[in-house]
Amino acid sequence: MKKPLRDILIVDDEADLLRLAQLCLETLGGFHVASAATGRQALDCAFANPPDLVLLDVMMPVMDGPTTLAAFRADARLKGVPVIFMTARVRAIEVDDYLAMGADGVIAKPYAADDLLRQIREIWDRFHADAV
Amino acid sequence: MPTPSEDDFAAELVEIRRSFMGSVEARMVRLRELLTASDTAGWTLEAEEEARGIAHKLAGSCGSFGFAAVGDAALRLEEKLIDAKAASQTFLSRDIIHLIALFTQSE
Repeated sequence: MKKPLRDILIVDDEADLLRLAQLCLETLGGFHVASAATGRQALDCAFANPPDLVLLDVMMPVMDGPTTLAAFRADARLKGVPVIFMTARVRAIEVDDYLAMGADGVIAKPYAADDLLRQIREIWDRFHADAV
Repeated sequence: MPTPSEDDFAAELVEIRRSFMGSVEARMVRLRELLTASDTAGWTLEAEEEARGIAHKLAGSCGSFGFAAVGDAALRLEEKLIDAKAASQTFLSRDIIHLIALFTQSE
């Protein structure tokens, strides 16, 4: 039976975008949302409270999205958590590259709130369908 | 009549958008500084990289706050910066001026 999506960790160094996404996901989506502004904070947060799903910005200073994803995949507790990249540049070839890195989906920025929710749910459903 | 939670949601959206506009204004100031520096020293690789980083962040965020045209212009600027060689910078100053003007008109 598919686990319901409840706890989301969103990671973005753009503070206002982080606030906006968290507000929309909590208020409109009914999710429990934790936020992190860096890859390091994301890992610390996830170690303490493993999320059901991670929304991960690609371009961040010091520890970028791909590096953060690799750290998730290298950890026994976190390697099975679905991770969705979010980035401003989403050409088809880039989507393939991000999926090849181990991401479970890619969402283009900017996004509208309802579209973000729809895409998250689609990727969550597909992740669980593939896991069967 | 809207429920308190709807009012809270709307109020928080307004506040987040106001904060975002402030951050974009700060980035426009930085782009102007890079432009001014380029008038005397030309565009260095470091300045280009910084401009590209600013453009990338604007491209990924402006549309979510109602500044779609600014975001689109930022994305085009970023793509040009990625594709262009360091020596081919004739577009850079012009496109940054255009980006700043778009945001100023949007405010």
